[in-house]
Parts: sequence; structure tokens; C-alpha cells
Amino acid sequence: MKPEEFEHVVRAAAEVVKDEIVVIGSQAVHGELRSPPDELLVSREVDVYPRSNPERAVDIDGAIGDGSQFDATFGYYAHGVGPETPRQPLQGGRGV
Amino acid sequence: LCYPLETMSPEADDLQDAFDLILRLEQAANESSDPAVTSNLLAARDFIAGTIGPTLKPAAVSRLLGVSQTALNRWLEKGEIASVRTPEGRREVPRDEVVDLLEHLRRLRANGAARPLAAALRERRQTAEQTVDLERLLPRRVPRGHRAAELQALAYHRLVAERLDDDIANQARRRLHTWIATGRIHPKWASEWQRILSLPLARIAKEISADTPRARELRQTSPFAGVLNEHERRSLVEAVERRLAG
Repeated sequence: MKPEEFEHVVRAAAEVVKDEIVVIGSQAVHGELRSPPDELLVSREVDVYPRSNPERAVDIDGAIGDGSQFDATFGYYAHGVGPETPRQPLQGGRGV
Repeated sequence: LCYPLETMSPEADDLQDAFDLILRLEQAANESSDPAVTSNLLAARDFIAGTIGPTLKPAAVSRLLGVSQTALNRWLEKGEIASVRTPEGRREVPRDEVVDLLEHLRRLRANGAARPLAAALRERRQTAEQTVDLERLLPRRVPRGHRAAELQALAYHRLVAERLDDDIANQARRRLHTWIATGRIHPKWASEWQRILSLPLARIAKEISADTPRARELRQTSPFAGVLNEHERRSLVEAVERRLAG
């Protein structure tokens, strides 16, 4: 996933839940690096949850998740997860 | 089929012609029994679709569907017609959603339906209510280790498997082709999907709806996005959440 695609997913997720979005997992590195490693470009998924109401992660799945029209249209998607999902030790959670 | 290129311009009033052409090419491809002809027709379809772009502004969509923008906005707000937030932050309608609706409208108009768009959306709702039945799509007891995302993907693909036809399979093949060309899928999964999508439909259905560790991994890179409409997908996501919570 390219940096602009990552930003697109996060903005779209924020729009769905009207909340700040926390990104976890490998794609969180986009918050740090403008030129992420090539391996990240293959991934189509960003793991996210809403900061204030994490239980609304399901709304993100419903609107722009795997198999959604968003996914079909752009080729990438958000995966709503819970804050308890293990974080990458290096990057950790990244608020956007 | 031979059409002058200038009819494919998405500018001005040629949009309607471009969508008409897409529908005719899809119909011709589905009716063709020659794989080479089908492939060429679909390539032409994709070329025209590419000139339109992935999404359309609501004003253009309301003209294409023959409804007021107020009516369209109401359906967009309720999520009955899919919309997506573009990278530029605008709310637009996916091109493939418009193709799907226009095809549906054509069938309903042929049957003499009054207010065909409202009828099409009503049919969608009814289909979602009738088909998103987790009792049928998921194991009665959720096996340990299944995450919500895996269950959603399993239910989604079982529903896709039930509806699988040449049109859906061709869409998946085209999407996979694009992903491979743009490096959006790992070569290992690309070759696995190529193998699966070369199988007869019944075998494809079996492979995508299997509940095995391998199939669960495979579904994470599935090219079958967009087969269910938004209403059905949301019903499915919510139903899985309820199942896990209960």
C-alpha cells in the first residue's frame, strides 16, 4: 500500500466513525516513514480502531472493510480491530 | 462490434453512451461460448470503464439513473446506493455500482416496472434479508481461533459461492490481473488464485468456501470484492458480530 493509499483509508475510516483513528500493525509505519519498505506495498489492509469508541470498529468493517465497494473500487481496505490486538513492538499504535 | 473512440469520452453527454456500451459488451461476453471472443469483449469493456474512472459524481449518476439529485442523495445517505470517499475527500458513486444498477434497471424496465430504481433497491433489500442467513453460511458452533474477520470472510465467500457465475468469475479474474500488474498481491497468492480461477465454477465455489487454515489465508487476498451489495455486506458484518457476541 502506497502512502497516499494509506492516508486515504485512514481518512475514510475517520469519516465513517467521526473519530480519531488509531492504526496498529505493520501499516502503522506509514506514520513514520514517507518511503516505507517494498514489502508494505503488497498489503491491501490497514488495521484500525476508533480512539474514543473502539467498539465502532465494526462500523468501519461494514463501510470500508474487506469485500466492500471501497475495497472493490480502490483495491485496499480498512480492517476494524480491537485495541487489545497485539501491536507491532517497533512501531506500536499510531494515532492519526 | 465497432465504435468510434470519440463516443467513449466521459466528458459531456457521452457518459450514457459509454455505460450503454459497457452493458452491451458484458451481455455479449456472457453470451459468447468462445473464450477468445469473451476475453476480447471484456478487454474492450475494461478499456471503456477505464476511460470513465473508478467513481462518478452524484450529479452524473442522477442523470444516468434518471432520478433527481435529491432522491439520489436520500438513497446515498441511507446506504441503499453505495458511495465511497475518494482520495480527494469527495463522496462519489463507484462506477461498478452504477453499471450494476443500470443493468438491474434495464431488466425491470423490460418487465414494465413502474419507478424501476425504487423497485431495484427494494429487490436488493429483500435479497439481503433472504440470503444473509448465518445459520446456513457458518458452522453452528464457531470453532476456537476463528476471528471475526475470518468468519466474515467465510460467510461472504460462501454467499459468493452460491451466486458464482461466469460474470462474477470474470470480474475476479480481471481484478487479479490488475493486482498482479500493479504488484498489489504477493506472487505466492497470485499464482494460487490464478490456479483457482482457472477451475470450473463448481470447483472455484468449493475452494473459496472451504473452512480450512489454507482457505482462511487465501481469502485474505481474495479478488471477489464487491460481489455483494453494501446492504448485504453490512447485514453480514453485523450478523457475524451478533453471533460472536451471543
